[in-house]
Amino acid sequence: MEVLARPYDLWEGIYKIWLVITVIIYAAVAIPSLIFMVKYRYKPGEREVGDHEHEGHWGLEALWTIIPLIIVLYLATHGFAIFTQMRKPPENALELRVTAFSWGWIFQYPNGKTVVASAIRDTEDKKCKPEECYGVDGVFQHYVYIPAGVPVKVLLTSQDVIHSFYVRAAGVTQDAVPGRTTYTWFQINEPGEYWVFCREYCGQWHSRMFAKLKVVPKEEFERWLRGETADGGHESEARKVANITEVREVVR
Amino acid sequence: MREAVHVERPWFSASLWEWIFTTDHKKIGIMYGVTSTLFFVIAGLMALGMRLELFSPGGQYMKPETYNYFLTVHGTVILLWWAIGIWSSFANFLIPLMIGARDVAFPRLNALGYWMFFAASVIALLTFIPGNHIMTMWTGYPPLAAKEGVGFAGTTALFVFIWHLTGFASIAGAVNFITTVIRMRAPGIGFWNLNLFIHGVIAANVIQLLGVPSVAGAVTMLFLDTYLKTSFFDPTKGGDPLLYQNLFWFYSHPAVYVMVLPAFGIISEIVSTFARKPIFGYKSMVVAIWAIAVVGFTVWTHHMFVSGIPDWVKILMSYTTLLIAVPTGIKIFNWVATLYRAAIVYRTPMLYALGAILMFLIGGLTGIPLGIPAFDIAVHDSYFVVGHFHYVLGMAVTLSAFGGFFYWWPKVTGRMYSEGLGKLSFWIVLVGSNLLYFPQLVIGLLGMPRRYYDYPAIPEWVTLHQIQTYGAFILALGLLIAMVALIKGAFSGERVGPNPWESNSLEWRIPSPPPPQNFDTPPKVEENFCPHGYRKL
Amino acid sequence: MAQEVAQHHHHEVSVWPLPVGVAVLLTPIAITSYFAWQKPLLALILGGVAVVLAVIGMAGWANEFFTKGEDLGYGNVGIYLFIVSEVIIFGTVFAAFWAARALQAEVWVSEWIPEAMNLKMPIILTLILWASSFTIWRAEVAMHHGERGKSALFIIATMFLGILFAVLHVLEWKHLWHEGFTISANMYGTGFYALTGIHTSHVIVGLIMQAYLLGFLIAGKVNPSKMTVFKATSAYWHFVDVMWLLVASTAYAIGGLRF
Ligand code: HEA
Ligand code: HEA
Ligand code: CUA
Ligand SMILES: [Cu+2]
Repeated sequence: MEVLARPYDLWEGIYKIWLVITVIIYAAVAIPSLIFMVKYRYKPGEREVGDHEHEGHWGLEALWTIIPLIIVLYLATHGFAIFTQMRKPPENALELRVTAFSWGWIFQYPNGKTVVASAIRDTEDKKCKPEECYGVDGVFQHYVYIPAGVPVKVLLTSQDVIHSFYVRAAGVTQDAVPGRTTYTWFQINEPGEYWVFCREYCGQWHSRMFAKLKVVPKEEFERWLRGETADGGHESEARKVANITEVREVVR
Repeated sequence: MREAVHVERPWFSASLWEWIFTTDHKKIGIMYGVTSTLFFVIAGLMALGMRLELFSPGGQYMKPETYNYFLTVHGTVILLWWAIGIWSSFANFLIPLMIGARDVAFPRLNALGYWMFFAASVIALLTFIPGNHIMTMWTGYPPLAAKEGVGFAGTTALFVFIWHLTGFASIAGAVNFITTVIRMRAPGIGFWNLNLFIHGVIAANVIQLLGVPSVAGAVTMLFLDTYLKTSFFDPTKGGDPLLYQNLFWFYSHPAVYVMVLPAFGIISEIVSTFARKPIFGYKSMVVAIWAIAVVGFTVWTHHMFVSGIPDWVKILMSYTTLLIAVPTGIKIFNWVATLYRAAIVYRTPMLYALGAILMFLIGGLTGIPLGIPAFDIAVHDSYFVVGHFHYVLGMAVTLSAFGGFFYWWPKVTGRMYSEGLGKLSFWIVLVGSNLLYFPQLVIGLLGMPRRYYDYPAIPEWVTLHQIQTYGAFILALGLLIAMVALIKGAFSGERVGPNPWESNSLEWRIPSPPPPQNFDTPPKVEENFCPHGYRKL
Repeated sequence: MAQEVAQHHHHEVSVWPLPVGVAVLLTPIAITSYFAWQKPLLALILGGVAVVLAVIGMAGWANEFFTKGEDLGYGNVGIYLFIVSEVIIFGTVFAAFWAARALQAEVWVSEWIPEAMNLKMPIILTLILWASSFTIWRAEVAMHHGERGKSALFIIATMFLGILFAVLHVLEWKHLWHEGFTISANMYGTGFYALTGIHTSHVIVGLIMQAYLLGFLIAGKVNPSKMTVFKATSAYWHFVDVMWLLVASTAYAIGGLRF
């Protein structure tokens, strides 16, 4: 079975394990508690003082030290194994350079093509709904094209403050730190539109720092990369860049 | 031991001047309590404002700057004034009473500590002046926080000084309380029969002593970078933005145990009193408290799993992070075992304490996956984190603090709070909180980033945000009722004797309210003294 | 541990913490006025009031300490705990310095170290501080034996050495600064001035403590049975001295040598 996105499949695995363990532990604590709470109520004349004989029990205490210890060691080790896999981008990954700025990202494809994904149209426009804010005449601007079924390695950095890059469908987050290059990777198998959010607070319009990935079949992606599709031509690119400098001047 | 004599004057019957210039730990404790609670209300009301804004996508009532300001103050103030500050109130009032001392070791320093806290409060209020809003978030990460101005950090200096002044107050308090407990215990009270509340507070104070300087250093560097253009966090001149994060979390992770260890202490006091039974496994409780405090210093990079630090550091601190579940679990299981063969009296403090335990459990269990980097990279800085810490803070810590208010209210005021309203408030708070915080966990798993003033109209997100907003208002109503229950009690509640709960701890052996001098003679405790458990007076 | 509980039925008050507290409030407001609000005059006024309040408050406080009540000796425990805290503050700046030194080793060595940087000055400064640690120790011993005059002389000597240290240090800073080695030049400049600056500020705090101590000693309020403040002052000074070794070897040797 093909999964929708990677490494989200790995994440789901550890998520499920955690959920099961958590529910069991919660029950193991809550059920006895509730039973005791009901059973050992104060009853005049009958049960007025608690048991003063037993102030502890080394066996029991050792038990609830050792069992959790085993569980957490297991969880950490399993997490370790999964994390090693998650952090390793496949060999054939498409390499994307992404530079964050306040408030958007510049995506650079291996052939030098760049897409600037910035959602801010008007810093004063507080009433607009997100879809409106990011579109012109209802059409979303500046999709970031991504080939379906191809792993993408993202090399991140930032021009100003710390931002972050979160691909919702793939479940990966990575900060973009000025002066450093960090990386992450993901792969989305189904064509469609997917959200990318900035997940590190970066000032006024942090909440509108997002982009949309347009995941398309590989051939279509290649055509787009060569500039053969109408959408995302270079000309509007230049306009957008100009806009960004404008916006940033206003904000300073 | 001699029973305490009748008091002519309770601790609080003093003139205004005596209040202002007081060095009495009880009065200073109350001053801390009033200030903290006031700021809790301010920060809580700002959160309600945020909840209204988030009720639906798009801008509703405020600009993003305003939202960011509200959130910064909500986080900073509720953590520093409420989750940390409120324990200064309890510690001041209770430590000398519990160890049988006249006052703390340095009463004047104690007063100065309060005035520093007060100074911090004034600085926090200054941020309300238009043009002086701070928009750094409580974490204040540079380079953003080093960029003054509306779109970015606001007035960085005020953010820095809030940390400095609350920090100085904390260090003064820590020096004071640690010295007090080391040097001023009544004969017969030692490490192994101190109240668990005192262990919790002192462990917290040791953390403050070692941790606060780290964050103080970090924000000082932030100040210098902002105003003197130094290079600490400026990568173009050899600095490193992640240095700040390391220094910040070296304190601010252990700080979460500063917030929760005293809460654990209160839970232990209340549970054993109302179970009418000594706490189960006292020794392992003590060991667990100190283990949490120590191991807490070795886990800080779990807040930086996606920041670009080397992978091996993440793995290492993932292990230490999860390890904290072990001592914490010991505490939880010991509380449950305390209920076994108990004689549980259901009064308001007990409800709050039991609620705190079961809710902390959710918070703790959702902290575990965050400590696993493979899990965290999908939910870092999402509402899942927000849900996690509201369960531990908004629930466990806040419920414990209110439990503590109810529990010691008769001791402090000499009058009983209103029981009916108290119990009612608990149930409303419990329902409201869960409606508010549980959806945060869910929406976080669905990807909702935190610190968003606005969000796209993804249908599940909208619904989950709306439930949260309803929950927040129900919760606020519950807290209002709790406050009414207390205040009404202080004025018209029935008078109580020294030991209304029949507890064995020392503070219940002097009249309620305590006289100015606490104990008439240095108390002598019985052999095998155990501060937890049942004692009829 | 045993303790005595005094029989006080009155409410205990002290007027001194409040003025000090107000000084603590005014200081950050003054700094904010200067840097953020850009109102230097307001900064000057608030800062001035703060200094006056602090001086008066601390004098009154110390006076109260020496005249009222008995000395229970808690002060030592307190000052040791406080010093632990101070060590961590220094630690943050060391962390910043060392991390940059390691991560940026190449540019650091090739571009950041100024020509004027050498080990002469730190060695002189070290000798001065060592001497002062010795004199304050002598002062403490003298006081133990009740030799008030001798003790006062040794404190004066200590203060002289401390002031000499601070003055020489400021001259050194001026010199380096004019060579273009400023606090905002690069991470070495930042780390250098931050470390030595934070250290010198501690020297100044130590000097203020000694000034108060000297005043009360001359006024005859310090005696062999009330040594806590004396011990605290000298413990603090020894701490400042030991710290200097780390500061100097980091700021000058680790930072300034080309390896
Ligand atoms: C009182 C406050 C408090 C407490 C007690 C905790 C407790 C814990 N926290 Fe939490 N945390 C916060 C307050 C707190 N936290 C805050 C405020 C933030 C956000 C900061 C910010 O970015 O603004 C945060 C964020 C945070 C993160 C960063 C997430 C991110 O930004 O991506 C992580 C990651 O590891 C984490 C982990 C944990 C863990 C493992 C515990 C553990 O101590 C929990 C241990 C307890 C239990 C596990 C339950 C009881 C145990 C048992 C019943 C035994 C059996 C259990 C097992 C075998 C699992 N927390
Ligand atoms: C002890 C800690 C604590 C507590 C108690 C709370 C309590 C609450 N918190 Fe918060 N919260 C934090 C600590 C805490 N929080 C932290 C650390 C952050 C992160 C900050 C950051 O990102 O930098 C955060 C972030 C945070 C967010 C995330 C925002 C975002 O990321 O964009 C939200 C959103 O819903 C929120 C909401 C609330 C609400 C509604 C309450 C309610 O529980 C508040 C209830 C209290 C009151 C309402 C006041 C008292 C009540 C009365 C006086 C009664 C009368 C009033 C009425 C009837 C209206 N908090
Ligand atoms: Cu960019 Cu948040
Ligand atoms: Cu943490």
